[in-house]
Amino acid sequence: MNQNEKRMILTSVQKPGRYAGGEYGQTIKDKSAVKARFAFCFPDSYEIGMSNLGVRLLYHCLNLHDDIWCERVYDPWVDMQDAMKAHDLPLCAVESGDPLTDFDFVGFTLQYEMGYTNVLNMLDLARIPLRAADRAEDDPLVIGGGPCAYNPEPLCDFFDLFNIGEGEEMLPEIVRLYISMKDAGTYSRAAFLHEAARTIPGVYVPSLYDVTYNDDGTIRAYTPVYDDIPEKVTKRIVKDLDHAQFPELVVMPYIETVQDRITVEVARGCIRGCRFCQAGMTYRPVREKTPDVINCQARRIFDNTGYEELTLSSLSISDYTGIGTLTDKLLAWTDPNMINLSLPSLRADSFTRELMDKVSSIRASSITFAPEAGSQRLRDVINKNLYEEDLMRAVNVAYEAGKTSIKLYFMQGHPTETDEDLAEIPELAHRVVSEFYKNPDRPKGRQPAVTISVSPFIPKPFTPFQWEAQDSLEEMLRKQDYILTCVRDRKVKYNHHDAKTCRIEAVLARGDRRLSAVLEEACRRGFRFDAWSEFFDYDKWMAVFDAVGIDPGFYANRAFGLDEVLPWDIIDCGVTKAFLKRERDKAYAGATTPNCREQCAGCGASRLGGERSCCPKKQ
Amino acid sequence: MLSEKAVKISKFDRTPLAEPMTYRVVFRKTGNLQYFSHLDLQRTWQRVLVRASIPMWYTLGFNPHAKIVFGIPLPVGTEGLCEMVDLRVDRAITPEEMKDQLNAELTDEMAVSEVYVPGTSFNDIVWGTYEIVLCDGDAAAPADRINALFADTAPIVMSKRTKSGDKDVDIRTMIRDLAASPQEDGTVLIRATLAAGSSANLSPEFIITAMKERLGILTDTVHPADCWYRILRTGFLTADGSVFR
Repeated sequence: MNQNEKRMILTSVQKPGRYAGGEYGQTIKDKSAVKARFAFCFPDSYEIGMSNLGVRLLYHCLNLHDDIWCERVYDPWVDMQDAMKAHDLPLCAVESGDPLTDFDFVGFTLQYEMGYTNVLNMLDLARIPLRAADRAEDDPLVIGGGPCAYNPEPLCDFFDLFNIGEGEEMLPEIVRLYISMKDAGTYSRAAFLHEAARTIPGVYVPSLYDVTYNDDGTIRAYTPVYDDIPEKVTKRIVKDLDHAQFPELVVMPYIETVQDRITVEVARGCIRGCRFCQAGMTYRPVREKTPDVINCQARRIFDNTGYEELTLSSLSISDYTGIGTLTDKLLAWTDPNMINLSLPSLRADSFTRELMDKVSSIRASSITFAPEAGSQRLRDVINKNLYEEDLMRAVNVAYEAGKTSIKLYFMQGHPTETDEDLAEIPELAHRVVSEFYKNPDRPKGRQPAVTISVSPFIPKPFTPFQWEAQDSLEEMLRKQDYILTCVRDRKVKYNHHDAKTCRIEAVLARGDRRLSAVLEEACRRGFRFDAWSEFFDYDKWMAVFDAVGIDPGFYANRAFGLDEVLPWDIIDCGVTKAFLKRERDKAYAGATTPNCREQCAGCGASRLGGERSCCPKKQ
Repeated sequence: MLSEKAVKISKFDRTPLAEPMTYRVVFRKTGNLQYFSHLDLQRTWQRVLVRASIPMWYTLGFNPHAKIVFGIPLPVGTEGLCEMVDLRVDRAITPEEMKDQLNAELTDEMAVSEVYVPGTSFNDIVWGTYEIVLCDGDAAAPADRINALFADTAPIVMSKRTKSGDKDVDIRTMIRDLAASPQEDGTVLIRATLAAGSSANLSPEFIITAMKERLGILTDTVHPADCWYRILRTGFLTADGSVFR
């Protein structure tokens, strides 16, 4: 496509800046001088993909190699897809504008299950055969990684290879192996995949494992087709985050994206162990960066971006051991440069006036906490380890600092939940409102507003609740209505997530290989952007399940057997099944588990190693 | 693991000025950057000025912000060689230093060509000069027909969408001059001077629309490789026809 043609097409679509490229900070290389080209695909819009820290990190890690050129690809919005179809244009990479079929690797980051249809949609737009088995020798190798790769099974048929775990080291190793085999003349698609599975830890090649099933539809066994590949693929971690690669140059979008700010990771993993939380388990062991390293990195990104907001990224920022030192160091230069410091994911029990003052420069008038359950009994079941006194103390700190708007996140459908537990959600919100009027230091002349946001529980792999059934759609909807009837305070605003989307997400999250047929049929029927409510259509999904003869209830609404072979049993993510079972038992007994720093619960992740972790060192 | 980067002079190391002063920065907006809106451009410049450590003067209100005034917005899909922004600084920096520090933070498609102390206001702009290149595979002698259309002194009334609904405007009065000439490669080059500024402004897209409606050229949207146009804004003129700077 020449520049004149590009102009005519781009000026005919909305937000042409999504497709223009030419950003400051992008990496341009001479394609004839590199040995491997990697198309890094984010299966959602440019605005979302450009904000993703993981993509930035891996783009940087690959481009550090002179003979590898990594480019970015985003899913074109529907109007652009129509224009591409009308003008017979394939999906192209942002930097070079070359079609994906010119690349050696096409990599997808799998961030959320509802993005799966976009993965297939993008392969289709790129004119790459959907099924790995249908790809020819010179088709690109399609590889995947990211949070959803901990259960990659529903996508198995479409991927040649998955990265399990953190990719900073593994991904360049995979491309280097490809280059060395090409150089040595030993490359063939099959030989490469076997060699990668055999020699690179964290590589999962689904076609090298046969799956058999029992009569009841559950899995009988996973069997490697070669003796020299691992029986279980252990996730990779980066052991020392201080010395891990770090992208100091950021590709600067010209158009507004969802997160136009400096983001610096402070730690991976979470000490808490909430029993529904997948990230809390799969990112273990907890590893921290030191405050000096984080401070230098943040300063460098500021120098290279000019962003006026800085946010620290972590699963639970207030649990970071160096938070006081770090915020002091940051404020020393963020204040004179008029940069706002924001801290996401604050836990109510560690939210202090001191921390609040440091971030009070932010203009946001609302503050969010996540009690996750309304009653103490149920918070103990999910191991939230949060007491009402903690929440009330935290909201008082917020009120005294002039905030009047509090958001509270909850889930419905936790194991053992009763209607009494649900009724406690609006009651708790009501007590948060009452706390405002009891506080003599509240902002005068203003009204409090408390928003409760309730999402249906989705059982996720590698959590103590991985075996649990999700509530039926009818039950989820009934509970949503029930909570509404319990809201009696006009200062409490209630909203909830779409139950139908959550049901499909549950199916895909706990799915096995047979779901590839569902996704393929969904792609054939033109499904895309299912994470966007304006495109998601539950009835169409049901029609697809019907057409391929798969019962979604088998995956979403069935309690999986404790001794059953789970689709993700092929993966070892660090935490052991024995630990998950112990936690499940404790949940049903209403017993809590102390956080990692108080006492090691023996989850098993410490055997993966890691510097500055809070795990007890191996003897 | 951080790499070494050339150190720019921090704004905090510069000498404060007794009074803030204004510089005019002239830059281009070409190639891929034609697809970004004026709002995108404003947002981008705010960040460019921060990372270039330009000693911006900040307003003194409750919500301090840098004083940045842009010239005439460029429509999406139009390239510009002479885009302008006026910046107010409160510490000593030379025009050369400012140009170098900015260009270190900009891609070639937005390179700064000149920085100077302005003697004019953007309100002095009355005309914009444009070059339109078009290609219409099937059109016969398009340059002659284009010249004939715009040489006629009769009003060219077109519908313009405004905040208060569609209204008819005579674009004839907003065209100072327009001349089309055939090029060796089969394309047509149009040089036009069109009203620009706060009192009257004619988007060059109206010239395209007029040619589509009255001459039937550039109407093929199915074959963008064979039927296309591009627009470049080359500069500005004041009321008396002298070059604005």
